[in-house]
Amino acid sequence: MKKGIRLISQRKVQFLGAGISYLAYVTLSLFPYQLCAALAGIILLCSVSLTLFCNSKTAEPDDEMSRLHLLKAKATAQDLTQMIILLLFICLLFLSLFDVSLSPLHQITFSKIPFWALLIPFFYGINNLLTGIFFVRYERAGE
Amino acid sequence: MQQSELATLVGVRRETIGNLENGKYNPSLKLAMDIAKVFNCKVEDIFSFTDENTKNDSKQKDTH
Repeated sequence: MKKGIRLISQRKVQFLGAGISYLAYVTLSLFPYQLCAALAGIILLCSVSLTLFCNSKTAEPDDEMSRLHLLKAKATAQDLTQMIILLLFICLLFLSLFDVSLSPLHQITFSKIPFWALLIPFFYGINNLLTGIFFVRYERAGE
Repeated sequence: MQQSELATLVGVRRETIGNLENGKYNPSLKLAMDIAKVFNCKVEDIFSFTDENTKNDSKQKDTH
């Protein structure tokens, strides 16, 4: 029988790896140095390559328990991501009440990438990371 | 019979059989029927149903 990597390991690379990589990309993109930008690109490339490699190596197929756990993990991650978005929205709304301009938020990024452009990989990373964490937790603890 | 053998016969992972044994996972009707078919017996001989709500209600009554 062909031995491949376990499903849980593949999911760890797919979700935890992607989540951490995208968050690292966002963090590194905050800095103006070219080295950081290059490093961010390399990390993303490695993450995508590793995911593709793991997907091609998998011998263990999904079964009903893993499918259920993945759905539950995705649902929980989505709920939490929505909560984070809502909390950020409330915080920004609260700041705007005090007539504070949101333009200083642009100064958070010292690089040429605008602040809003980093929000997409940030939430993508958060969502993947949470999905991975919950999937591993459900797989280990059961229902 | 080992967990891995049963898992192969019913087309699931070994972890799923392990979680079933430990009561951490409720199988679908199809999986339950498949397992019963492997052992050549009825589903009720292998699995038993415990209503969690009834169990919780009785626990609450005991505490009162």
